[in-house]
Amino acid sequence: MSRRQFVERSARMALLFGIGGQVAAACGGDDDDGGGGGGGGGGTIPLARLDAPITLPDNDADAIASGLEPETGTLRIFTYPDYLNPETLDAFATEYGIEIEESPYETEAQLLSGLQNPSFAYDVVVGATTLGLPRFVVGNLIQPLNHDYLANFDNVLPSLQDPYYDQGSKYSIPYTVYTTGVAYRRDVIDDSEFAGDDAWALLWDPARRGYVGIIDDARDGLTLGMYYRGVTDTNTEDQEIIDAAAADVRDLVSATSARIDILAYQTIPEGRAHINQAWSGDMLAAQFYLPEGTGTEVLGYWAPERTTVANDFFVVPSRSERPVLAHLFIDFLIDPANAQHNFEFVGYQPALTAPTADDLIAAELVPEHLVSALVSDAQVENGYRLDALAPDVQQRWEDAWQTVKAG
Amino acid sequence: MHGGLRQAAERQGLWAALTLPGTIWLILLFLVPFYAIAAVAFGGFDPILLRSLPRWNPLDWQFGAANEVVDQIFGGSLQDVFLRTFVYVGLAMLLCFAIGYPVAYFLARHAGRWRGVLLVCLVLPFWVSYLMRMLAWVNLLNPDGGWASRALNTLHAPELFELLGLGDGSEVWFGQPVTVVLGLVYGYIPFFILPLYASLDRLDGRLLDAARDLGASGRSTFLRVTLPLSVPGILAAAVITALPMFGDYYTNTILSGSPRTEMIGNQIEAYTRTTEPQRGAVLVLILSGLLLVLMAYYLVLTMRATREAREARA
Repeated sequence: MSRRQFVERSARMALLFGIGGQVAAACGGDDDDGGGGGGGGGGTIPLARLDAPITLPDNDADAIASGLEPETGTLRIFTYPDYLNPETLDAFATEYGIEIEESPYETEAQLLSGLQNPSFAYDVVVGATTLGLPRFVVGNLIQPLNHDYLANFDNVLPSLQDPYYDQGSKYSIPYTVYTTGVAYRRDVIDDSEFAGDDAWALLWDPARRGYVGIIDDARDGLTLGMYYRGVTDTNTEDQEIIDAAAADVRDLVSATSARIDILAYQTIPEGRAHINQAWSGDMLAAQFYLPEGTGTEVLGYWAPERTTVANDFFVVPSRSERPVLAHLFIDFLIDPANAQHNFEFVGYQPALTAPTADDLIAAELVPEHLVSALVSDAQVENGYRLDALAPDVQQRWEDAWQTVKAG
Repeated sequence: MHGGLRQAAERQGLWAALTLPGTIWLILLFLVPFYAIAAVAFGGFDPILLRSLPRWNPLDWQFGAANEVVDQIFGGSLQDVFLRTFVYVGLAMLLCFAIGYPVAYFLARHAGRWRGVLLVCLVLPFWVSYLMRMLAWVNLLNPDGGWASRALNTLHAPELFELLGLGDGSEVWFGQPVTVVLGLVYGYIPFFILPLYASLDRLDGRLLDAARDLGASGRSTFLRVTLPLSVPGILAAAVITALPMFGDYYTNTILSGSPRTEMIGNQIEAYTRTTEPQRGAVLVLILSGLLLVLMAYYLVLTMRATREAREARA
């Protein structure tokens, strides 16, 4: 930092905080504190990539022994809101004679924060992703799983039984699987406009001004800008690519006055959005949010052959007080019948062999026009992944996204 | 005499003791959390576990994150957010004044026996949660059949607001600056009217009579007597209304959601929701600092107005 910059900054800080003396003294140490992204911690996290699978390291937590009796009392579940069918939970509670308590989180950061808070002892987490998994392991926040309790494990999609991000499914068991694509109103935009593999560009169409939405997430949001330019390195560390993607998404916002949120499952069925970057699971769930008198035929979902594929999973916190019950709960939800029952409420496709896509269609749980929102095992194998990034790279993605969010 | 002094001292002690719960309340629920925010803002950050590492000793404070945020405010991506927030709150305050003053004046001076009923009507919105009222507007403004949206479009309101620079002429109301400004007015105007009404209601009617007796017209009486005397009330109403408006984020989130209308509160929320709580904490401190300046200005003006009124009476 030049002396001129230093003086300017100090003056601004003094102006804003009214604590000139302290600021001037403290700014002398500016070079040491590493700015907003640094200052503490250190160390690294293991970074998995589809072409570079990893076995997550052992942490301080031990897996539970085999053959233990399930605990009694209340099973505490940390999960996204409305991400479990209450009836499925009741069925599990009845089977084991326990109570169930759900605590919601809304972002991966909140999940991480909740797991670190010693005041809470969750027994099982639903909805963790590859973004947080290595951090959970390094931070000793989750425990290795004992597969002896997971009799239904063979029902997990073959491509996810030994996933690249957690070889041997040491710490995680897949829960749902989904793609990122474009949701749209079929009564407003014709299906034929989504014929090719480059329909991302439709989100930039100024004719849709006021009716466009994109996902409020640095990774998904900026990846949209990359796909628009044909870039598919979704874990890029290249600042130019990140900046270009941010510029493109800013253009999108400017051209269409797009909303940035994670409400496509509401805005599309309600007609507040006509086209929205969306997760496939949200569109399968959107049928439950249609106003009375509006049929499911208005809902459409497009994703190119290769797009972002993600799967959420279960993990068991290292502080779990009912780890046996947590394992049995996971096993319960990867059972074909229970998974289908759970799907009826959640709308996110189970990451399982059964129920199959055909089962869900036959049970009339997936409308004809939303079959494109179902994910095949081949898509899971070939999809682009949003994986954990090195902390400094993650910060650069967040910074770029902030320029989009700031308008 | 001696006993009288002791009694006075005891009375004073009693009053001081009565302030104790309020003081403890302030320390526990304002000063301590505020200090915690400062400890986070000027503390460290664990990039692996994405958690703040608060530094409780001010001698250990570091200002890296604060510098970055300040740089963004002066010429960076946060500059527009700050300018936008001030413009939106300024416009909302003007509208609150234009709408609220006549209402408060009518209630105080001319409502007669309807005053009670009208006051109840004014307080009525508080019976419904702010969030619920905003969510109701989501349906009313829905471009797909919302009747408020239809009515506004029939009245050519989009063209009008485009002329005023508060909209882009679109018939979709979500994502428009005007929607956010009107949302703020709608949400906070009762906070503006009530203190103003209380101030106007306390106006000494004899001063108005004196002005009229001295030949002032109704307009002149209002401009030269009523309005100046209601300045402290206007300021109090403005402060009570503007402070929450500056930190508001849900009005914008619900009625817009577009980055084009992003305000400071939305940025704070975005930072704290994700992986940058430090920056969020810095923004909270900066916003608090700015509001403190406004508050100090209000106190100076109020003290001056009180002194002038006292001098005028003398």
